[in-house]
Amino acid sequence: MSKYISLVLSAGILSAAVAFSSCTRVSSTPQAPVPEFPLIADSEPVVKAIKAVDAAPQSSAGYVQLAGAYINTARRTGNFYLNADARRAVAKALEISPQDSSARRLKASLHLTYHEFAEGLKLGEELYAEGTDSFAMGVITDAHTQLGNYPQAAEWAQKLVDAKPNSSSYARAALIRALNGDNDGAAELYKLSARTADPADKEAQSWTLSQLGDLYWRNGRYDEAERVYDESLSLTENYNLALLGKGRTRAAKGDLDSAASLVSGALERSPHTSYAIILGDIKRKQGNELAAQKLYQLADNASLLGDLHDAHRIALMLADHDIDLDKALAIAEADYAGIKDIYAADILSWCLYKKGRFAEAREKSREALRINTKDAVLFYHAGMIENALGNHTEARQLLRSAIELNPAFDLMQAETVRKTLSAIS
Amino acid sequence: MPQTYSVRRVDPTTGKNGKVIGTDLKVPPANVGPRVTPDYEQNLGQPAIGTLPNGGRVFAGNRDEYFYIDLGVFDGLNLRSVGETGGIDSTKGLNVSSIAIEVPIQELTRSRAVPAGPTSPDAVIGVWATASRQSVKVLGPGAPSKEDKWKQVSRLGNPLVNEVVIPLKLKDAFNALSPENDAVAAPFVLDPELPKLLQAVYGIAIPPAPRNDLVSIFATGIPVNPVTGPNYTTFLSDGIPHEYLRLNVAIAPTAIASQNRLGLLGGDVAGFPNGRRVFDDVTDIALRAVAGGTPFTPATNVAPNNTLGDGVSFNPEGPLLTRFPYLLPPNQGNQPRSSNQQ
Repeated sequence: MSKYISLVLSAGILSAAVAFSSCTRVSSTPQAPVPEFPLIADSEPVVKAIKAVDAAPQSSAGYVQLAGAYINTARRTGNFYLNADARRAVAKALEISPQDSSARRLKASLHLTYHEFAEGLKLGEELYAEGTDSFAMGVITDAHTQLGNYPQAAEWAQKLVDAKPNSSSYARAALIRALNGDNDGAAELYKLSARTADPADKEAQSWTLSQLGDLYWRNGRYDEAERVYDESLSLTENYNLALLGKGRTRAAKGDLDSAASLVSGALERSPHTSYAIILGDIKRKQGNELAAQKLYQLADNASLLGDLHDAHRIALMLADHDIDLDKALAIAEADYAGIKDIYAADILSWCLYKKGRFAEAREKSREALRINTKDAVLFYHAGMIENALGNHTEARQLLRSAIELNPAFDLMQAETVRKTLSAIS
Repeated sequence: MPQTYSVRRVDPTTGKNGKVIGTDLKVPPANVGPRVTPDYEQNLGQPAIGTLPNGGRVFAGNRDEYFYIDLGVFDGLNLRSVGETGGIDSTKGLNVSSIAIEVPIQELTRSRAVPAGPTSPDAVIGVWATASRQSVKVLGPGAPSKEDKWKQVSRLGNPLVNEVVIPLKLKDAFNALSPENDAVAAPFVLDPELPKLLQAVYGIAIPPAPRNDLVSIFATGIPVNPVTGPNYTTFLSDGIPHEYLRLNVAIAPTAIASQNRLGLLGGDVAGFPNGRRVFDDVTDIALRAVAGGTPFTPATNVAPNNTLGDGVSFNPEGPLLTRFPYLLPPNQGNQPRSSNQQ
């Protein structure tokens, strides 16, 4: 345990990292039998589902209910590790009843949660072949999106929203719109999604609103972003996506103290790589270099973060901070070999740029911009690469686009944009 | 801003788009509480009843959710009770957006006349409702405006058919179907999943497939039988099964005081599955029907199959009104909803 303690910054993060890896798995005394499935006392759906399992252990229905309860609780609380319990419950259900449609749907959904996009796609297609089910269509749409198969993603999203126009299909349409460069249209669709969400499903509403907030943030519309994050938080207390989003928005507006406390809150609930990096940037900006370094180390320590490590984000951080460019490039290349989404291409381009391989970097950067996504990070990377290649006009245009779109898209990198722009203007 | 609605009549003479027979009909505002909306029913509820040129009446707006059910029944059969008491009404204190419409009988029958009696060939009608939403354009060019074409996302004839009979993978497809295309769902009526789940969880014997008894209840109508006599609700417009709610309009309504919540199973021929009164305990009836606890399957028409229930047998907000729209006024919004979700 001591090697972990040396890495963590505060008691809060320490307790988060330790608690999240232990609370769902370890019993209080070595002698006590380890319960097969953790009872989450404050999650009524989990408590009810465990009762259902106990009442009919020979039926798959209880295990399906339990898996669903874990997934929903994971979403609501940010406790990602409950997804592992959900997986075990799904496996139990499928052991009892291998063809159980509900269990197979949850299995497909969990493949996506764990970034097993190809497996998710395959199972989604199998489910769709058995019945024109909107859940399966949603899985297929999401898998194509994550794999970077954008034309197929758009095609399936259209098929889905035509088959069943509802909150979740509107949200998928919104994401595809945004990826394809229509941020205003995407905002309208997210609003429609929020309006049509099941009023009883607070987390679903909070999720949609946090997506809308992220979209506003990416467009530099910080006040609007904060408003919808607040609405999201009013529906689901301490909702980690909204805490993070609001913190990032506060940081963009220069309020670093409240930003730090909000992002810490998100990180304690849900120790994601990206949250640690964002908090690290805030700490560095506050002048607390030691804290920043520890957070970057936390982010880099995939074993500590377990399932929550994000190869994309780690490679980007290593490259951004010139920590270990060979490692960054190796991660980015491995990631890109697996999936061809625009962000995998973008991060690979950035790592190539950092290694001085500018022509290859430009090739990947163009791939990242292939569906005209309006995202300051993509413009920034493309601009710096053009600059390195001596194409100052294009560089200026791209860097200006980045800063006009989202002036604080990254607390550290936005400064580089400004410096580079003044140097080449 | 007050919400308004219109009523459109579609029949063989009007074409597909029908004919508008009522416009600018008013939806009453929400029942906020005694200070903002005093004497709600007298001032706002009753005045919102619209009249139609054919003598019909119509109402659209918030009402108390009269339907009573312990939702545990659909939550993996997580029931507090499998008897007639001991459940908790999951919809207690909730309001529901309601549409009530009263139509002269002769406007609904095949003969366009009031049937001579319950055995007349035109006595049974089939009813279902649908809800639709607008799709959107995923990609441009142009803003993601809602498409003109409405997509059917929900369809209901018999209560609970989706929950009880249609398997998960076909629920979306079924909700988008018109009854004329119901053949695709037929195999699932013959061998549904829920009875098997009842068997697994509660260890009760269920009738073996094919469940022709369920086909009668959901898709062809109740045939000639000793309780109701000839032509109870059998209605096969084209000789093949379709799922809709069947109503024999020539069977006289039972006076409210004498109604039995179990409808036909309780000996009340004016109740479900002869139409479905808001008062009818369709949850208990459907549970018993899928478990084979009805006279159609004598071998399983025994306890506990014919005594199953969710343990909720009445609407806790009180009995129905004796005048149109019959549904109780909405619960006021300034009172916290009593905790009844346990």
